[in-house]
Amino acid sequence: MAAYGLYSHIRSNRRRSIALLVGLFFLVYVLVYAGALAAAALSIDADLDTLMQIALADLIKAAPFATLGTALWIVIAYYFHQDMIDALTGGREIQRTDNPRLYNILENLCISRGIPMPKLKVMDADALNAFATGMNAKQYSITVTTGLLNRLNDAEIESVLGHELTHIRNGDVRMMVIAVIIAGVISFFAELVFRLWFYNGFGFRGSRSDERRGGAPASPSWSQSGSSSSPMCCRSLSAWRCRARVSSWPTPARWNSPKTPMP
Amino acid sequence: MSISTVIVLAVIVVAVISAIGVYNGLVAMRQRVNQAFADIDVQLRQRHDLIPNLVETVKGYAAHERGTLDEVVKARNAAMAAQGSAQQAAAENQLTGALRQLFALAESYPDLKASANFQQLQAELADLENKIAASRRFFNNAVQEYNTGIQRFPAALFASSLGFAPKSFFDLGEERAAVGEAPAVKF
Repeated sequence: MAAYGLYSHIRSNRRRSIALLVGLFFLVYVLVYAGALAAAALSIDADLDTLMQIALADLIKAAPFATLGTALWIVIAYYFHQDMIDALTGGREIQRTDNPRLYNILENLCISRGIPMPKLKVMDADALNAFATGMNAKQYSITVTTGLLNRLNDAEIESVLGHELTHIRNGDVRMMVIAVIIAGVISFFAELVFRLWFYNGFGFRGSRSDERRGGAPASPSWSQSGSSSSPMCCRSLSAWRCRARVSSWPTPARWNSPKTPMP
Repeated sequence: MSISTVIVLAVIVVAVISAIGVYNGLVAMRQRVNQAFADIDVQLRQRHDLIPNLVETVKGYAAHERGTLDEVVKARNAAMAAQGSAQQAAAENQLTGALRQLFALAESYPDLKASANFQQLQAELADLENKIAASRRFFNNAVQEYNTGIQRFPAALFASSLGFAPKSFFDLGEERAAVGEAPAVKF
């Protein structure tokens, strides 16, 4: 059953996060297999069946390293992605005394929902932007640009913060980070294959005269189509999911002036 | 042990386990309602604590506005002494009304308005009003979840016999009309 409200979305996002994490490991195995197949096709002249068997054997040999590598990738992303984002965007955390107006708006929203308050960060930029990040309650933070703070009034800022807070509460943020990790892994593999293809002069060795040994031209298209279409699919899928989630909720309006039109 | 006995036993075990789960869920929801109600009190107490400071600040600039100042002090004492939630709600609404009158009054004293102390107190009290509203909203949310929980299917069978009565939302009641009036400001 499709999710229809906040609580069912929370449950569904939790399930999807787990499914994505499990799927990431399988994805890595598939990509390693694709890489092994391409490598076998490049170096060995044989039919497709033999090549696939060789690739499978290579996969089984490489599986422990692939699993370890993926686990390491996930652990690094889990603990350090917040720092990476902060380093990239220049966000700095603020306390109540730095900007009491903004801090109180977020605090009141959190009181009304009974959830702990995420860290509040401000980023120096002219663009009006705000986003939520973090994988667990200790890491959650909302970053807002100075451009947005200067241009919007209290009610509008409250809507923006409420929107970001709902992303956090929804479990969206955690799921999006996992999806981005997966997109990163796929891009990594896609680049690897692309470079392999490129350095072989946009083609592969393989005799075309013998039917039995025609496996080589077929195998690159398998691995290439898999690994290059995935990043685009992945990115557009993540963006679509975020948009679909976003457009289905009403933004919280101020509760003590119910006649204020929703922005 | 025949297969039908095993099945019957299994069904009973599953039923008991799920009943325990439902009961624990109801207990958790009831406690959240109680906690949410107590949390509203926290904000109200904070407001009570700020008022003496406010009264002293205003007295420094507008000493002959004794009428309004006395009303604020009286309302605050009544709110602190109120017992029971209905009396409390009424007293707190009185206090909100008195404060609103006081701030409306402060408009005609530019020195008072410009005082940093007064502005900070005004900002803090305005923020406390928002916080009170936020905690009431959370209380209503907790009550809604609890009421839904005791009326849903498996729980509805045994909730009332186990002492889970429905709770009411935070409601201003008859005082709503009084709160809805704007303070009378005479120029």
